[in-house]
Amino acid sequence: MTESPPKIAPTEAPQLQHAPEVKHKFIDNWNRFWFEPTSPVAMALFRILFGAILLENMLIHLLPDFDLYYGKNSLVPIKDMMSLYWHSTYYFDLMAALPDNDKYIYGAFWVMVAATFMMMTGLCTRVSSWVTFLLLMSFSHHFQLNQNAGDNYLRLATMCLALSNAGDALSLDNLLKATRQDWRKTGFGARLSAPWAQRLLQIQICIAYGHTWYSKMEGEKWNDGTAVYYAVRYDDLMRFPIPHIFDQLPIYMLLTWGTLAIEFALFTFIWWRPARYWVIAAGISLHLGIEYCMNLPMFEWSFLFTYLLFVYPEDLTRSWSWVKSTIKKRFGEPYKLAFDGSCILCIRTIGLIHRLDIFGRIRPLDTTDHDNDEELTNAKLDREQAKKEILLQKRDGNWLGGFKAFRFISLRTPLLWPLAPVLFVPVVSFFAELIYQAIAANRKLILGSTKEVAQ
Amino acid sequence: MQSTSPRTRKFSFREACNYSPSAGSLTPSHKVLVSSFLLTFMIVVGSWLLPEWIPAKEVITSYTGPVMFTAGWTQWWTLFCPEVRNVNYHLCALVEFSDGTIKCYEFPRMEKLDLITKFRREKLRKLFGDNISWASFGQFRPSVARFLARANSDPSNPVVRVTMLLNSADTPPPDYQHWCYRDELPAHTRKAILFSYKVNPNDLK
Repeated sequence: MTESPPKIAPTEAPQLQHAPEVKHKFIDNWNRFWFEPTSPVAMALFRILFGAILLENMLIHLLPDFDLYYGKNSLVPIKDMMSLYWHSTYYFDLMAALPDNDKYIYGAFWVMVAATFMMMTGLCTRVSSWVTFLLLMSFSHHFQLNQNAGDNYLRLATMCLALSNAGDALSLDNLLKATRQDWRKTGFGARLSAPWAQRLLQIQICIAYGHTWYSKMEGEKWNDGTAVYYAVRYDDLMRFPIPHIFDQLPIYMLLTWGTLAIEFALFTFIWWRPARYWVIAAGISLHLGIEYCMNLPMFEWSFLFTYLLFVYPEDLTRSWSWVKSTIKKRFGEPYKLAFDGSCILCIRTIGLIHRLDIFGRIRPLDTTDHDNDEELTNAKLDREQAKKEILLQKRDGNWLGGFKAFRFISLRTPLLWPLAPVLFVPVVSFFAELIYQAIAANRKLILGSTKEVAQ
Repeated sequence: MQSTSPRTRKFSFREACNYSPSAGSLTPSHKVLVSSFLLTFMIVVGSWLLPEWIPAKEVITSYTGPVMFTAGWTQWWTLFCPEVRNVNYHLCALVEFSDGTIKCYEFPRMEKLDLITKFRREKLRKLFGDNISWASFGQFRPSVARFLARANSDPSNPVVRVTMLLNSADTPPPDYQHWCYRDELPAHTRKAILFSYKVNPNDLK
């Protein structure tokens, strides 16, 4: 048998022809991954939870020993920090530019706290998250010795938040914008946008898991299965006790190798859709286990909250619908709220109420929409009254109007609970009723709404 | 339901609930700009996290390092690795006065604190336990010594020397015959002088 000559040319030629196609495919995939518009809700949820961790870091962990770290007479003054750590590298530190006085450092700290709170609540989100990031970076560079991997992660995640559209959902910005919008044109859903900052944070957490996994693989104790035995014996990190029945070598070996397997999956299989939620579940159990055994504030929770970014938008929607349906089963059907669809003030008010009503306890019904005619007639709605004020039907079938309806809603909408007690103060309710009636009577004059609605 | 085209018909409430507007695609130039930023981030961070044995790492990070430090992208993910430590320890300082008196100052010991205090003061553990105690942060010990000298000095009896001691105990290896449970760890009885600093009068100002 003779060996046939290698057919190099015919196999190479098609590859060359396919090269531009491969290039295009790569660019398409790149664009789809980073830029295909998607819902900002996951990032917004992360913003809220992560903001709480940042506040914990500032108010619980930094503030008690603030002078020791950042004061004029700190343990390591900034001049020493610059000469001993910064060397010739340029670190970003806004405080280095401030006058040498503690009140300025405290001022910067409280600005950072305020900015973080604003970022968490979604007020001027873009600006507040940039301020938070720059000050967080300044404080970490100003005194490096109290910084751990968790602080690095806080800083990096805050940068991603500042670059993202996390303020486009579940934010005060969004709520304020909604008061000026007509939801019949914009809809209620959060604006879809390019998720590249969210993807960057997803990549960042994978970098963290990948690097820690690789470093562990180089360690002897991680390979022989005793690493967790030693790690849970760091006496300065101990939190809750481990019962002696679980304090056994085979269990530690299982946990050591299990940690390696989970961390490997957290930067590889997490990108494979069928495995994603299983990997996340394993990651949650890993971090909760560490949280139980060890006192590492912020670290575990900031990683756990990042998993939210891996939840597909449709699954987030489905999960929330499940929450709402569970509440509906427990507390009954949502309350009917009749409004005049020809009045722009009513439309904006309903938009605001609907956005605040996160558990779906209120069901607005447009009295001008003929699809609702039968239901409203059966509910014995006074249509003339509905033209004057919003009306809410109670369980006994009676309708509450105007301010009283709003007060009733405030008790059933958790986001309005802080306001609810005030609305029951007799003087407040008296004046609020008057103001409501005055606005309702003149609403078309105030907003010129008839014309706008007619358009 | 989503759309990028301008709408002419108005939604009913039910339709509005299911509709999300879209910001649309980024412009090509915007995409190029963002992609450049993303690639820069990944190259800078990736080169920093390369294993030490890669010969080119030092050369690459001499270019990428300054970008990383300045932009706040610095990161280490080596908690409990590559090796887990097999020793427990705490730090204390002997503050010596001019009349020969010695005062022992014990830095906060996390294992002695209650759960809430330990939670609140975790940064102190990082500072004194994880950093000052180790040689890689040894350059800061004179600053810490000067701080202790200033904090304890008395004009009539100034501090003349500060000596830091490391008190430690090895974690017993896992051994079925002599198993050491987590709540039975040995006390930190081994002592070693970590650092001694002669205080100058100028340090006390």
